[in-house]
Amino acid sequence: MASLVMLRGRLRAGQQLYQSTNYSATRHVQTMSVDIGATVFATGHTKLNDSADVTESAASYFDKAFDAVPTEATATITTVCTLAVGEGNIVIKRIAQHDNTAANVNASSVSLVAGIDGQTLGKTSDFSLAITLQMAFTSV
Amino acid sequence: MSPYLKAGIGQRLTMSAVAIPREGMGLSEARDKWLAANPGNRVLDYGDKKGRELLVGQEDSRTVEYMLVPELSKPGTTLDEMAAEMKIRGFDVRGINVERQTVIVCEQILKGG
Repeated sequence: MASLVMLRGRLRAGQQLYQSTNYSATRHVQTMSVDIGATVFATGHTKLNDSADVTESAASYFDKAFDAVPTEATATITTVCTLAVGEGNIVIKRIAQHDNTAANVNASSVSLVAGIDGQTLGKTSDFSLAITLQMAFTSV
Repeated sequence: MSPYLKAGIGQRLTMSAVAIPREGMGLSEARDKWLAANPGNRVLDYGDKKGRELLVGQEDSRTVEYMLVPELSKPGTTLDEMAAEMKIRGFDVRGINVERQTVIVCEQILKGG
């Protein structure tokens, strides 16, 4: 299991920071997804169904906007997404961030920025699940 | 001789997940239900916000790029060959960056020590 910032995500971060050619005022990172994908994230991935087992069905993925505007401390951005008892009740293998609205994110949307794979979180309707992702921009 | 050196490029993504049981469910019941929900489920700790939340997931790792250094490599070593060798050595290789001539690796952050 590991976390990965895709090449697309790095480029998007640069575009937003420098307002370069493909900068977008609306395509900021704002949505979190969970899915059943067994394929580990690779730097070339741009969408969830790069793992073939993730399809356009509620049984394989769920996405939702962050709970609130991301917070910041030093060089770290913190995002939180809470899945309610009726949301995302799957065996979560991967958690990801997207640079589009939740309404526009789906299994095939080219919106993947970063993610964490190799998890096993068997969520049921007995629980809500608060997921926190922190992105640190730092030298190695 | 090592065909690579660590480059000073990286971003770190950290995750934690807290399961919050339905109202009225006690801590021990919540723990049992979570563990029973899936064979792979784990409880790493108890959250203390309301005394009944469960820390169920945690990940701390980073993306690191290793640079191909021709001067330190066998002549003609390609990025693909370097990635293949790193996989054999146990690196969690996730891709290559042709523009920067790097192999992209996930690394766990080791704590304590």
